[in-house]
Amino acid sequence: MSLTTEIAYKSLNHYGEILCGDKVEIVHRPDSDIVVLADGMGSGVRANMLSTLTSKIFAEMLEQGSHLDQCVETVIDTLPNDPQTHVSYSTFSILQIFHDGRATLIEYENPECIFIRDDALVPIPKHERLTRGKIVNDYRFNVKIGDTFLLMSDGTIHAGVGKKNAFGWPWEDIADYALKSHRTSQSPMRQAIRLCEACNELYDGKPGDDTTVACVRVTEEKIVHLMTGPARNPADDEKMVADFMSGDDSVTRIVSGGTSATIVSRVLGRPMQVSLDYGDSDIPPMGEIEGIDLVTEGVLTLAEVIRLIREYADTDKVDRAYFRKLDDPNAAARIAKVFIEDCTRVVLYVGTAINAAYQNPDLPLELGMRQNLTRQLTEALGAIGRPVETHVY
Amino acid sequence: MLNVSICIGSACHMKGSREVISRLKQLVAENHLEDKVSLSGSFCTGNCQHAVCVTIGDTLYSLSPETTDEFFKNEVLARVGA
Repeated sequence: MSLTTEIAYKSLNHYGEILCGDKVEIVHRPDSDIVVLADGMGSGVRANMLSTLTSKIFAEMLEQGSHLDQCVETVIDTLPNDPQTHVSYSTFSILQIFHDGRATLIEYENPECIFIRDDALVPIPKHERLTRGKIVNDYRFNVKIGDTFLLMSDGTIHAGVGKKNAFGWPWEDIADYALKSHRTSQSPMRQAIRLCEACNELYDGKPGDDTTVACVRVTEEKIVHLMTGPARNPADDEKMVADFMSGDDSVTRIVSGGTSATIVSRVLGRPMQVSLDYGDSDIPPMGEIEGIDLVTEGVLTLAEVIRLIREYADTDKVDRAYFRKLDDPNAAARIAKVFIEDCTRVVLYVGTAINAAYQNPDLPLELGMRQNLTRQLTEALGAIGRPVETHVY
Repeated sequence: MLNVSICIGSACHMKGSREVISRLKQLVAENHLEDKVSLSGSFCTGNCQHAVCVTIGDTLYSLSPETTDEFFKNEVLARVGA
């Protein structure tokens, strides 16, 4: 069994603060994926430094292959205590999911993780243990595909204290809300945003505490093949198309480029239909070839795909309005949506033929820049945690 | 049925495929030729220097939004005899 994860998070800053006192780190290791959510005491600069210190120690040690238990001990040893209350300056939750299905959840003073399996809430058993004088909850279990976890900072359960909710938003109610939104929202990012927006409403748009939700979903590998540009040597067309078509039916296949699409259609012997329907978009319409998931124009569409992925990478700005753009039926939004919501790994098949007509000075420079575009696409995908493998022809 | 195919590849798009398509759709409707003329799209035919590329059968025409009306009159109306 080889499992992987989709991880996304969203934060609200304490009203009036530029920095967030909560910090999320995501680590991809060869054996596992790990998410760390740390909440520094207070708000603003101090809280930000404390949560950054905590999450960075975890991330650095985990990246170097340290065992989670060792990281927890180091963090607890490192964190200063408040001299008056003897409470640590930062709380944290960590979820590590191994590709073989084992999982470890360690929680220290954060609200309990919400665990959704088969459309129901699963209680997380108390397995408290003492580590370096602190009590942490340590839960080891096995995950399966579809399992969803929500890690939260206490800004969620404090939402609306003294205003809309006398005692904040009870954990049980948050869990019910999460379960309902789980039934309708497709991706971890959408779910994290819905919970944060609900908290923001309870706070009347002025959060009294930093509020963070990290959503983790267990999935199968979802591989995307994207072919763009004709091979430099036309004799390589068949090999390029054969490589692009490799793999089983679970692979999503995208051809981005008019000439490339024509080549795929010819090599596979399958006719291509091209739509004339622009909709409301400035992106050229799509084509259709049987067995290919998306067929689009190349450079203009990919430039817009890159813009959409970069915008997604800026988690501070991603909100429901962003997802309305992503749900648009234009070719660029459809490709970006596949990369963002239905993909764990990307393989690019890039042709390096130079289109002589694009050297025409009447045309914008953008057209001649396919190499540059695929490099930018690779970087943008890397920034949102999608590893990219590139084959050049 | 006369088929007019308009390229919407990168270069043609930049040179105004969208306007050409919307004008041709309008002209077909105004002349009530929906039963005689079909418009379809195509991707790059390798003639980008002639963008916007429009083909009828094997004949390639180079259009711009400004020459669309003239093309329609000389090539489309003339062929369908309207």
